[in-house]
Amino acid sequence: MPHPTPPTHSGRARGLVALALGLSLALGSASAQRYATAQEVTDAMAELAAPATSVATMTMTITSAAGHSLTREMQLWTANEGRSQLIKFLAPADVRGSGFLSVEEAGTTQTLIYLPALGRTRRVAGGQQQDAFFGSDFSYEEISSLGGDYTDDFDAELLEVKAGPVYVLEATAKADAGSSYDRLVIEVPESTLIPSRVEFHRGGELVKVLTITGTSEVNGYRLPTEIRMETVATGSFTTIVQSDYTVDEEIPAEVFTERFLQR
Amino acid sequence: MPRPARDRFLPLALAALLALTGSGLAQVSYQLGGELSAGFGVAFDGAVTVAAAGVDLRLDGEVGSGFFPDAVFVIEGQVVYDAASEAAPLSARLGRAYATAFLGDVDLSVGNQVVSWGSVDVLNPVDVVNPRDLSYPVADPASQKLATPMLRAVAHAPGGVTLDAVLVPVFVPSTLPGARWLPEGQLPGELPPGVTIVGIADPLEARPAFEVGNVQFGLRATLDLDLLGGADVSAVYYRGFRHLPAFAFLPVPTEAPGALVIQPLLGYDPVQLLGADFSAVVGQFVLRGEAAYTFTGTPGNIALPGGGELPAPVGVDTFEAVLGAETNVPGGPYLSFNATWQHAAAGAGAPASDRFATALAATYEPNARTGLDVAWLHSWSDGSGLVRPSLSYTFADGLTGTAEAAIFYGGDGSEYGAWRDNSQLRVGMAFAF
Repeated sequence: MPHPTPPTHSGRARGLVALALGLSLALGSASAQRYATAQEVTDAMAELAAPATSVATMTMTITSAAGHSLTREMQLWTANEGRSQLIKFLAPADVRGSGFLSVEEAGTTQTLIYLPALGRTRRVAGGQQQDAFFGSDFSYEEISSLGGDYTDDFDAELLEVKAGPVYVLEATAKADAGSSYDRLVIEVPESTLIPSRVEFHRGGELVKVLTITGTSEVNGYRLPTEIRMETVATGSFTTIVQSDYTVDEEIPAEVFTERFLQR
Repeated sequence: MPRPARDRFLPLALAALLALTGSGLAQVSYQLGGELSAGFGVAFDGAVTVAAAGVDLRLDGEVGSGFFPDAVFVIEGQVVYDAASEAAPLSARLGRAYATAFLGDVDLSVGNQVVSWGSVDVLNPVDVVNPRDLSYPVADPASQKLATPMLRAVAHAPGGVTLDAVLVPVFVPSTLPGARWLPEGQLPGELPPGVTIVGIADPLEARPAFEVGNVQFGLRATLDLDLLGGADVSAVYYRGFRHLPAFAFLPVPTEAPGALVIQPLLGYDPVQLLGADFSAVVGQFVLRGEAAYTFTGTPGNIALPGGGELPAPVGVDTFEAVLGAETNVPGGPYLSFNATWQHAAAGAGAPASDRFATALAATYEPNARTGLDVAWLHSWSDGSGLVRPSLSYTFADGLTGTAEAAIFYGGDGSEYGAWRDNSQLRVGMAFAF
């Protein structure tokens, strides 16, 4: 059993939800450029509807530069527009049953983890944004920023419009930004308004590259189904494949409780 | 040979719970899993401490077809062959084997279970329900717990209140450490001239019998609070027995003049425990605390083989408290620090005593495959301690190798210094399926 290092950032689960919900944008169908500025693009991304609840299965494959892979399979429940999240590990066997719960109420996020080997839940603190998400190439900061709310920390400019059209935005960190990155380059196809590629820069160096290589439509929502993050320096990469989506169906409030976390 | 009480209790209890959940029996899903493992350990003095291979099997499943199951069940078993074992090398053990029915706001569980009470990790004063396997005394405390037959009801009340009640009808003692771990000071020291010890007899023990008066029970009440980044407080009451015996050694004359046989006497103290624990998130820190006062009663007499009885050895009242904090270093390890205080009241011819210790642990996972841990436990009462580094590496999904060391230090007769010869290295490999 891997050491039970608790996932300690309050935004971890929320960030994961961002992958499932924050990028769940309605499919557009424009063939000509519809937006003239970066602000118009980000406003359009923010205005798109997201499911109120979702249930999905996530398969996360972590691949080293040498090509060796580890796989984690998880079940994800979200509600309250992502403010309540529960993740349970399904595989591999040595982590099966582990999970974490994050519930945000009145501006406070409470996070609990459950490790079967320990036999009880543990309350954990908000952690560090740069920590790896379950040993993957994703950090919690990156997971969170993919929710489309990176405009809180970045000022965006439109660099160019590629064929498609695909908008290329340059996002520069604000002075008081909480991000560890100072620059992002984001490619947003007008057809989906889901970023298809994000470059993460720090100190003038390209650190990571995210690509969304698959999307699907579920109940009218365009949802990302395959996401890849590469760490440039090491050559390792992580893919997240999301499947078995169920959206906008009522999830009992009891799901987001310590009781269900331990079941 | 009559079956042990625990063997009679389990089938009855499981059958009763299945009757409660009978309506859902048509919808049963299950899965089989387990683990193959092998381990080898060698002490610094060259002795092989473990050379084992084993298999753990686990069957678990759900009953019911709704969003939430009506019931769940788990059955675990373990078979281990340890060539270095001081007892029989081949051992088989039933692990957790219980069923839980979800009855509205109450979770009712029957069978062989492990209960984890408390908030801290190093020393858990209120975590007293289960006995432990102490054959390797410094193993991960969570892995030492022995599942025991019990009835457990957990009620989820409004307002963030949880009541957790356990009823343990059968007393099961902890598995004692092997001879290498027994402190030398337990045996009689200086003997009069001309007197020698020629042997140690099999221990005589006053084990609590399976009877109504010896039923153990406890209640833990927990209140979740919307304070800070989240907090909870719990109060615990438990009535039962210590799982570790109080020892006494009785010199018994033999037919040969001056030759004595040492007769170990073991008594399991009846106890009542009052305790409390809490955890709270404060900024980037989690604070945890736990404390318990244990009132010790007098165990029953020890029956002698030839007739008659001897009073069993008896322990003393104790108070234990732990206060800890943990946090995540940016880009670095997860750190936890605990300070413990253990007080033993005067009794059995010994004065009151206090022990203070601290435990510092760091955990770091540089990548998805590698885990590094180091723990340092130090007794400030006698200057002894334990340093325990460990490394784990995941070769493939479910296949993990581990290497760890346990290094004891301290003077002769000190708490951990007495185990200096047991400082050791251990390596292992496990495949979970």
